[in-house]
Amino acid sequence: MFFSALDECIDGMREIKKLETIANDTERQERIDKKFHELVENNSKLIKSIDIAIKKNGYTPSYDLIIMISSLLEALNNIAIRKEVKETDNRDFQNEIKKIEREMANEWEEYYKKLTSNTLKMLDTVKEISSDKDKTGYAIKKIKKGASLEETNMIYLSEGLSEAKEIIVSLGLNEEVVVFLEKVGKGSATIYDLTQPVLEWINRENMAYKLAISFK
Amino acid sequence: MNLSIAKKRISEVIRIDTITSSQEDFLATHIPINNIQVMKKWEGGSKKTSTEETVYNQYVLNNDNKHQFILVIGSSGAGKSHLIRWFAARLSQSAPENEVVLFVRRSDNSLKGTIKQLLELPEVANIPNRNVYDRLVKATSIIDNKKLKDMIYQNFIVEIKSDDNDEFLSNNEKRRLVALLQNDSFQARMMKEDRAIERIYSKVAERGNDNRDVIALFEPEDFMVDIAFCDDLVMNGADRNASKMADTIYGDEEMPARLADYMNTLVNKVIQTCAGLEPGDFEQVFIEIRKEIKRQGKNLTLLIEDITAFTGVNVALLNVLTTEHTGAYESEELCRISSIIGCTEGYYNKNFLDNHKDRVTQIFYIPNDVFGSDPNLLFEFVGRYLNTMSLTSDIIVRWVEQGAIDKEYPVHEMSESSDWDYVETSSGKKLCLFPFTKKSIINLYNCILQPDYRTPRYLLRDVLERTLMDLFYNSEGFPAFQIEHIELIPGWNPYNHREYVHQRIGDENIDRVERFIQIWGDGSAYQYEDETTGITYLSGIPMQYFKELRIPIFTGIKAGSVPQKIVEKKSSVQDYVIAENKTKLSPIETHNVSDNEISPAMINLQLGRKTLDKWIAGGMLNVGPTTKDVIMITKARDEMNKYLLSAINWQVEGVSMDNISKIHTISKKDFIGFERQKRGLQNAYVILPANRETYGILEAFIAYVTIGDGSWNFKDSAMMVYKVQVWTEKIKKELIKKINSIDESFVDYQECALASEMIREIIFGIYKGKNINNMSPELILANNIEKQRENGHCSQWNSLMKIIIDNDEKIKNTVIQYYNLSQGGSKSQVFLNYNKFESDFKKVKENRLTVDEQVLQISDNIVPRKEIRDIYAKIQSRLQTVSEAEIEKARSKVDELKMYLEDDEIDDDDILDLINKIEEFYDEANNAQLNVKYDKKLIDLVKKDVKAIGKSIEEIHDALDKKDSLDILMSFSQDPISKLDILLNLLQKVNDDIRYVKKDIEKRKDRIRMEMGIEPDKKYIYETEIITECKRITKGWEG
Repeated sequence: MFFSALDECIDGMREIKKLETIANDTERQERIDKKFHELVENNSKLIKSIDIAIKKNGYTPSYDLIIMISSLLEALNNIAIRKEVKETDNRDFQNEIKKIEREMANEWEEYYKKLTSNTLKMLDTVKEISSDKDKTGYAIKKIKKGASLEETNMIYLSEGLSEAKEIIVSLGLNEEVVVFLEKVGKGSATIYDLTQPVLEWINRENMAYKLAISFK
Repeated sequence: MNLSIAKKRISEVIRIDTITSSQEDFLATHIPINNIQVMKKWEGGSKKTSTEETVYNQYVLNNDNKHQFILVIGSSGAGKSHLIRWFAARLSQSAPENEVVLFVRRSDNSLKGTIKQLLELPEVANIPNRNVYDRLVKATSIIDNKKLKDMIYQNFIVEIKSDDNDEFLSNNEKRRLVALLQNDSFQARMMKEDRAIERIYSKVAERGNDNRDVIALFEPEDFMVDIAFCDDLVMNGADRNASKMADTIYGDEEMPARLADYMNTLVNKVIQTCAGLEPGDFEQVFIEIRKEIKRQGKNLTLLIEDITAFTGVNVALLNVLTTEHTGAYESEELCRISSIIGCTEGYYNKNFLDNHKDRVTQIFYIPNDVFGSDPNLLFEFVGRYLNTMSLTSDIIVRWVEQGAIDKEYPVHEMSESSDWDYVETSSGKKLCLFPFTKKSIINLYNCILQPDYRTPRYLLRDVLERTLMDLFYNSEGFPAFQIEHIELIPGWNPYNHREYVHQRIGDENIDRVERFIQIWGDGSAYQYEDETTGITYLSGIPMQYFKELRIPIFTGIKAGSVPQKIVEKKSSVQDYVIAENKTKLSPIETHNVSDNEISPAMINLQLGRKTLDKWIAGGMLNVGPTTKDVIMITKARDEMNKYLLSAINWQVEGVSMDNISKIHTISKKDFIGFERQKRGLQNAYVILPANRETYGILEAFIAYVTIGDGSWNFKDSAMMVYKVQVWTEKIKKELIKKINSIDESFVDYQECALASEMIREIIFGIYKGKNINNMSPELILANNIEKQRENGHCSQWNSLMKIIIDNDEKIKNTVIQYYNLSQGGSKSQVFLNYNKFESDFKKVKENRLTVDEQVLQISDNIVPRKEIRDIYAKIQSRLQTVSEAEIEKARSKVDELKMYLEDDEIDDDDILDLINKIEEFYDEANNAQLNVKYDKKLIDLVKKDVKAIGKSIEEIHDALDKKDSLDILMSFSQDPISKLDILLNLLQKVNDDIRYVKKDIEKRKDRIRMEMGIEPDKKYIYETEIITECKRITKGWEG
């Protein structure tokens, strides 16, 4: 009881002191509070983008990134409870958020590539033979938007990838053709992959001039 | 003497107030006073010794018809009244026709009586202003004697209240005096018979039984109080001013005299008020008398026996008496006045104002010892009284009627004795002195009358009347009357003749025979015959006298020669005594009594033996500081006690010297007393029976103090010493047993002292242990008396401390001194009787500091021992209450601690945490600029004692579980509550500050709300919600 009463008083005294300090510099504090608000909002957007990336696009942030984000949230929370945000606090938060953004961008870039490069190449390959070139073009655009980790982009990305799948399926390609095209996308197709069905599809679709041979 | 007539007449003739005897008896018993000192002034003037006849002719008769104001001064009973009355008698015979003689008698010695006498005078009857006298009579009649005394007292208070005079006392002092006089206890003291109010009362009241010239004034002694009285006033809730005055009287030596002087200024007013007189009444009466006498062409001679009869109006009286009829007062038409007034020296010195003293024309001074220079005058005085009372009054009346001529003075015929010692008057008349002899008169005069009381009055009352009454009504036991100064009675000469007479007379009559031989005779047992007269003398007294007075006769020791009467001039009573003692006899026979030269010491021994004889015979044995024999017995008893003190080796016998000291030195208890001891027997340990053995021991010690003069160095002492030694061994065992016992139990005061001391060690925290068995004896013996300091104990504990402090030295000294062993009687070489000490110490410890209650209930009559036991009982009886109260206090403190901390079992680490938090609190308060003070001293105290506080809390918890009061006291002996109090004080202070801080924070928040228009608590609330949502989202990432 006594300890808690003391603590309560101590906190109360600290708070009141801050409030009084704040009350003494209202305009400046309002600016700082606005910035703090922005930072919190931005951070929130970032988190929500990641969350959609995770949920829609199967992205898994690294442990370090999660820790960085959690620490930042804790710090923001503490400041909010303290009822006093200083200019330096905003600066620190901004730096921290930038760090997270950088880290996240790196991580996303790498993941995005892995996620979309084959699909994009395949779409590029099949664009000429697809019945609806525009649709394929849209799918490519949507997937490419996902390069930037933003909440709406992640939805585009998810939609783009889904539409790409539909386009390829609609082409009615033999399974061996599809595998061949995937390997072509990855740059790993060999002469051995030119199976009979594949050669028949190349000839039928007059694709021979579009394919080149090179050494591994 | 004619016994049958004398028995009837003695009360008529012997009247200590001269004025109450008849005129005839007065003249028949009158002897001339021949040593009157006549002087002009009391101090510094020349003196001339005259006879009464000369004085009468030269001054009283006043042949020159002058204004006279004469004082007759002398002590009470010296004969002033007698002389004045003789003047009156002479004047009645020889005064000129135009001389009015007014004789104001003392009568009943009250103002009322005196006024009555004045009003009865024939000259007063014709005074025109009757109303004045009527008022006087009325005034004196209305006084109710029963209420008068109280009225006098109350009138003093009234007078003080209205008195503006601050010459003697300031107004404050008067106010306090009134308060004191109004106090019941003080009033009761003032009303006592020997105090001033009674003296004043006797001058106003109509009692008629006090004929002394008592001065009705206050004396310093009337106001003296002791400390007990002052304390009682406070205890009984007396008025504060009364107490202050009593304290002043007690503390200021001069105050009683100042009060007496002051009160004496009010005496006249009070007496006049009580007598219903107006100021000036009395003076007016006398002026009227003088005018009336002048009108009748006469002069006035006024004889006033005792001026104190005019107490209350004495100033008025003196004014009128000193007013001359000529000169400035001639127009007043006053008669010539010649006044002769009796007064005592004391009255003259105290009451006569200087202007009255200056107007005194002559002083007749009668010295105290009027007979001292002339034994024949003394004999004649006695002879005349004996003769007068042996004559019928008609014979005396006839002699007076025939002119009272000396040559015609009637002499009675002897009825009982035909040949007795006589005195011859100047006119040749032989007056028989039966039953006295000249020698017995001298001896009784010396042995009964103190030097200041050797006046006719006391001679009549204490010698003549006392002896005759004894003879008349106790003839079988005569002489058995009281003699005040038994030591002045001439001793046995030789001293051992008493034993001779005792053996022959026996116990029954020895006293009267001894007194007769010593006072009437020569103090010997010699018998001889005067060949010239044929008279046989026994003990220097004619054998016939024995028969006449029915004194038992014995066969005396035959003397070798008839004593040679030394013929020399005996110019004084003392010369007479010396001459009588020079007559010596010597024996012709050898007797079993020695013939040593008599010494006062031997006489004293005889006196002591005589006292012992009476005691053995069944009488009481008196001790104390009264008469010579009693003093001697007391001395002998005291020496016996001293002897026992030194003769018994008390330490060897197992008696502590402290016990002896408490009994003998401090309590003044006697080791021994005697059966039938008159007083102080309860003061003795062993009562010696009234038997021959005790007689022998007591006799030995009487010899030790008389003939040995405080030593055994006298003849035949060896046997006495032997007897004493044997007796010592005999009573030693009983004496030691009684000294070491209370009732039948062994003395326990030392155990009480030990237990008290041990309790002191606990109560004052000197003993730090929690188990009484661990207390060391060294602690008890150490010099460790401590003062009471500020502490956290309960009030009952502190009260007990006060009780202990009041007695600590007494207890400590008793503990140490009881077990001290003096080496060889030396006080400087002292050792501790460790075995006894340790044994008692162990016993007290085993009994857990209690002493056998049954023994304790027995009262010890040795005050210092009782005192120690009472102290212990007082301490012991409080232990239970103290322990309970201390527990209660501790419990309340623990509850308080729990209230603050929600936990009453905290240790020093907890306390340190608490201090840190408290410091943080105050730091923050400082930062937030809150008006709460960081009490550094209080916090430092807690910091400093943090371990002790932790330990104290632990101790208190332990103590709360204990049930035994001693265990509880030991648990609290180190005063853990005071340590806990240090913490509680801090908590209290911080708690108060917390409350203040909370309130202040709220106030300041309100102000911010007012100023900022926001709720401080809702600031960043939106951001907090976003952050919380983010945290929720990220939480889902983890897995």
